[in-house]
Amino acid sequence: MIDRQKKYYKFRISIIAYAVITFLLFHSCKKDEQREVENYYSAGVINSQVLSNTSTSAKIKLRFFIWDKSINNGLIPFDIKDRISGSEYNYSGVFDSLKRITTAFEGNYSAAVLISNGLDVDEGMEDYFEIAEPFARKFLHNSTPDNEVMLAKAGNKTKPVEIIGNGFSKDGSLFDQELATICKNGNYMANDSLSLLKAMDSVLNYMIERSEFTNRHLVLLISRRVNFYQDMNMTNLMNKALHNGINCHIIEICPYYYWKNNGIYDFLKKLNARSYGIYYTQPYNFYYQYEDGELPMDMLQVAGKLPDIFIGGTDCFEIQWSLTTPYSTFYSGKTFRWDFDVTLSTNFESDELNLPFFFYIN
Amino acid sequence: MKKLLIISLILTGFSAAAQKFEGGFLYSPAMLSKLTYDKQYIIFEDYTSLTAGGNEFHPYISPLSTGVFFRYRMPHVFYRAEIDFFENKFRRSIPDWKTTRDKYFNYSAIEIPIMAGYTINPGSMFKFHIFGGLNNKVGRFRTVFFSTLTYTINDSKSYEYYSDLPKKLELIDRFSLYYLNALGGIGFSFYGMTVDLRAEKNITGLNHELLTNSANYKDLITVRLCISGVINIKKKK
Repeated sequence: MIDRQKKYYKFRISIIAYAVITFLLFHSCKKDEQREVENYYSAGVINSQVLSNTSTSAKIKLRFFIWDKSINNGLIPFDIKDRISGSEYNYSGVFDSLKRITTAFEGNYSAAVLISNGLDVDEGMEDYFEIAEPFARKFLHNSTPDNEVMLAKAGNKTKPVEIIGNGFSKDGSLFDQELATICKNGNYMANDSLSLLKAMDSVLNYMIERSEFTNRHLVLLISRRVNFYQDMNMTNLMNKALHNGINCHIIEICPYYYWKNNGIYDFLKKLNARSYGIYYTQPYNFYYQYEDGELPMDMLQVAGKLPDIFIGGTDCFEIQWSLTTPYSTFYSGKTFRWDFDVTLSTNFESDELNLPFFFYIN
Repeated sequence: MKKLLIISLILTGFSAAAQKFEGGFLYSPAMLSKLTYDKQYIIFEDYTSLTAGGNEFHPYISPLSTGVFFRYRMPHVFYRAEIDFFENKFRRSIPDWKTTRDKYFNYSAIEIPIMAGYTINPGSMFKFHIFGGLNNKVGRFRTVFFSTLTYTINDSKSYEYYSDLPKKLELIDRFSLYYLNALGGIGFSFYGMTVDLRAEKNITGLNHELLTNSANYKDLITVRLCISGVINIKKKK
């Protein structure tokens, strides 16, 4: 009888042991998430400043961010000194210093998002409105209620700009339906020309007149690349933004080389560099095929972090680049483009993030 | 005809005709639904939007819709209550979704309809009736099989990719945990078998929370085909 009982207990214990081992084996075999760099990091330039220059060299102070989704979208904690390399394109560059800084506190802000609809080139523009819409919406939502925001749509010659709703609002969700209307209907080939300069002028006037805060920002989400009316004095427009302390930010959703109107694009670059605006474009391959309903993480991460940058007191990197070129290139009054790479790794892959920016030689 | 009679007799337990209290099982294999919204665009938590649309009746099969019923029957009038677990399907109510797998979302609810009806010809073999009542819809259960909660393996990325799944879950979660429908219908009984066509429309709000910026659910109209068979509960003394 005792033997039978012992056998029974032995059998029970072996069954339990088998179950525990199976359970442990099953869990140890569970695959870790294969983290892709583009699902965790965004990187971009906050602003650039030329410290000194000759016709063949320039010293540039640059502020940039690399945010990590896994640490609540904070600045990456590790040392990136050995991961940075300057582009060999156009100029060669070495960096003199790299440090972490906290930007100056600027306080609450008034911001306008200027969006255009219709495309006049279709190369690389497929996902434009699918990305522009959540980007703008997240920024508008995350800015309020402490700051005020407005949404404007650039239009044609007869109606250069349409201010959506009642202009500035401290409730970003008020623009939701209109923003959806613009973006759902915006993906068409436009035959008319965009009156972007007049639209910008009107928005700047509106901001100067109506904004509650002196910390002012204009976020440009421009879908067209070819057809623009150049019906305004660009210097006056530039001065209006600079004299009134309005930072003009460019969010480039499709590759910059699809710009076909260099006059307008040069103006926008100069405005961006001179007003110390953010230039953000995806640091990854533009030809990544997104599935239906999938959005680039970095764009949404940046949209959510813009308010922090505008308010100030944000951690970022500050780097000083020394650029040299064998030819006389750096003439005053001109804007230049350059880029550098940062290599980031996850448990799955390593990727080079490309950070382009504009700098203006005074 | 003879076969039909035999089947009916089996279903009714050979004794349905003389009862006042009846009970049985219910099955709803097909439905039509039309879901409308109060604004043009549904705004999601991931800051994207989809066009709220459809506004048309769409047909579905609903193989997971079943329940039990209890009926008190008099010559002309009857009262009936049910406890059902019915599917609610909404295909093409989001026109922006591009692919076939994306075009529907559905959930199941416990439904407790309470009805009163009138039998037009109680003495006939085929008894025609009309009925009306209220349907209490409780809960929103994500029926995994045959439902929206599928995912695809994204080969290029080597991980499971849930296409539009968060949006579908959000759409389901936006339904209220309880709402009341008015229902009415027509049908006929043949021995213990009843075939009903019932139409329902919500008379209380469909939304868990009314959103000011996003399209909310406005009206939900469903038409269901229901087949029920009587099982003897209590014989008349």
